Amino acid sequence: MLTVLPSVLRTLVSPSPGGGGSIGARERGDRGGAAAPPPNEARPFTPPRLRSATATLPLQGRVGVCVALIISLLIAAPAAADTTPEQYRSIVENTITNYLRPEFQALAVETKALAETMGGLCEAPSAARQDAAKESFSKVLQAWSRVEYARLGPVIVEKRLERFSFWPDRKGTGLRQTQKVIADKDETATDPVTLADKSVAVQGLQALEFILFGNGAEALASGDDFRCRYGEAVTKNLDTIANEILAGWNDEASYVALMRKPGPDNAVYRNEGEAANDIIEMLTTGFQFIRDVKIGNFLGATPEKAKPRQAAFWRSGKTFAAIDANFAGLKALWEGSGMAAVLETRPAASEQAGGAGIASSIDFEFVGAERDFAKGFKPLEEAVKDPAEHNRLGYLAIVAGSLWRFFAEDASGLLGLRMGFNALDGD
Amino acid sequence: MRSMAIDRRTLLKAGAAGAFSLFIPIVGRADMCPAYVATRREADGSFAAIVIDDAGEVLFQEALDGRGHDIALSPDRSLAVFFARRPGYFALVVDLEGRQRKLAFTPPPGKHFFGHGFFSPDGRLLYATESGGEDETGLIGIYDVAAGFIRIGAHATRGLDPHEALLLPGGRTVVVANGGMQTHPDDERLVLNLATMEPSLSYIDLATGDLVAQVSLAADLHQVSLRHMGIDMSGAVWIGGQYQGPPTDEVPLVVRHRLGQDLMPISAPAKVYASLRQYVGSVSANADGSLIATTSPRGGVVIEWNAQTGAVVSERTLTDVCGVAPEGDGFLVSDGQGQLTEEDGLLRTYPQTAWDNHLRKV
Repeated sequence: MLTVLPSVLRTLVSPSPGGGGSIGARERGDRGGAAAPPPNEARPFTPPRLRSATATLPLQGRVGVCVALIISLLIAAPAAADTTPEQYRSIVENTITNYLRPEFQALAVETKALAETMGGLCEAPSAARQDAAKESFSKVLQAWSRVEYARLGPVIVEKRLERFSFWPDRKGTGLRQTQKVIADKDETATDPVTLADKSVAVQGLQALEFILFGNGAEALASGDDFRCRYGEAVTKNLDTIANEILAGWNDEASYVALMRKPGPDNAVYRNEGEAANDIIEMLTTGFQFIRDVKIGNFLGATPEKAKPRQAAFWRSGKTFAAIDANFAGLKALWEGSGMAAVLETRPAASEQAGGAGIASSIDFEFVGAERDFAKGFKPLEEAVKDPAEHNRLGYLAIVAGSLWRFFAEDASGLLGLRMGFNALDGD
Repeated sequence: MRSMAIDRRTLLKAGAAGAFSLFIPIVGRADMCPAYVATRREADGSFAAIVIDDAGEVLFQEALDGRGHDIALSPDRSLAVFFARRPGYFALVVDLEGRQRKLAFTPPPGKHFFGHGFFSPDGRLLYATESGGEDETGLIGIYDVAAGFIRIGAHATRGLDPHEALLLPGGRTVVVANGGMQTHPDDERLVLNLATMEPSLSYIDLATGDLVAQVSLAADLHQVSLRHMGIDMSGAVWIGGQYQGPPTDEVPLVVRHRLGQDLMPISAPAKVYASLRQYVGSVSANADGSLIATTSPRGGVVIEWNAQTGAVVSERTLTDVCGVAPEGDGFLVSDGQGQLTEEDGLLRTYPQTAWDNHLRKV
């Protein structure tokens, strides 16, 4: 279920169909990677074999040199065997322990605080309490963005993912429905139980953002009874969903049991590699999404073509903070999974970089992104119009694209986790 | 080599005449006539349109600019149109008699192919599933064959993400599977509307473009993207789905439809559906339409169904299997490991190559 893009392929065979595209094109240009096959086309990874290296050595004369060379090759490439089931298992186990459980725990802490803060605002409306509610919202958004691409297991059942965050929403369905709930004073939206059965677009982060920051939000400070009660129901709903997901991850007999015990009768994972593949897929999907949807949706090829209102969370001014948290969360996943340690056991194939080189390249890209976020950005609307800031955002898209490539092509290949040639979504 | 190019129909005629075939050097089953077409990734990473004979021998091949998908064959079997995989921006027309590339054409600016298409019964028009433009409406583009495959119009498919389209027996109505997945314009594999997808099956009058009928699965199955189809001996359409929901859900991925009725999910033991891993990559009927084969590259399985009873007839495992086409009473399948496999075993392997998702019988 690796959802990797064939846009490299497309640029090779056709003129651009117009619109978008520029980020990917720039990235390809910068990295000179247009000739590289996109990851879904890549050949199944074959571990380098010693015999292929020795076979090319000159066998005539200078035997001593040859022997020395062969010995050095033996020393340099001792680990030509496949990634072991134990190694895959360690990646899965580490991810559960060091990323999924603690990060969703942190999210549940923030959703609880948000529900309390929102309740406080409704109880005694004031500008200070509205600010506190906004601050709590930002913290939930931050915690959510760190796990946004963990789209598996308890996250994707019962529409929890969409109910928590309904985006992208290209038709503006969420805004329209949320405004209607408010205009109609739809009481079924003020009880978290009945709210959970309503449209996924009116019960999550985007609805709450509109309630707290959208048109008419200022009335919350002086007491807008319906709007506040609706907001409170949304916060309780978010808290419920976060706790359901957390309970799912903490349940030893549930999805984690499937991840830990692959086999012929396992409905999801037949072997350890498939479970490990789902871990690396969070990273590949995440960076692809950051580059093409999170940034790609609003940045445009030039400042003139930017569309800041298509950015996620522009109303609350948290667009960049959320993307920063996306990077930080994926870094926590990368580090928590221990994938680097497994990669480091993978030798280089022919002239390509080995696992250790790929791992340090990945670290390098993460640091690059961190540094750029640390410098800060102007507010979204200004930033996209400012050529220098626009360039910096383009750079972030390039970093996301590089990380995507490192995970989807290099790391997946080195770990022996390629998808089959014919198994892509929609083919 | 032109003199060696014995047209398949000529050979059949000759065979029927019962004499000429004696003079043709036939080694085993390698009759050197185009029998199947498919696209393939070559050992060097390039992509090619491939024409093989009954023995799986490559008769000739043409380079493709990118990865291919399915092939439309003209009714007289003289032309094969190899479509690029979605989002596809080219189609290559190959002359099966002359054994060479004829021309390549592209969809209009802003639109792309989905990798599937078919010819009109008289062979004068080619139809291709397409979409593009702001509203992403599904289309069946209409191309004039004699005029060099210029696009002369389109019919709406009344849904997003049209994938395979087949001409029904009678040749007047086309059935098209609207997969329902709204994807990012730059990355056609990023699905953006999982919560709201509405796949459907549309029947469209080929002459007028009118919608004859449209059916959808029950609301709780709205994440089953309907994509590939085969038509059985009774004219019923068999559809293979790709489920976009949780991998732990138990979902019927094979569905049958007769015009005038509801879509009918085929019931099968849970283990059978589980073995498909929520993904059917290709669907085909056998020669007489009594069997339907569904393949799953994710599950690495070929399931054959009795078209009349809906019962599972056989299950086979084969890594990365996807392409399937009728052969004898059963099927020939192709896979991502370069293999062509018959019902009773391996026919031919091309090491280091990978057959694409679809295989078509000439």
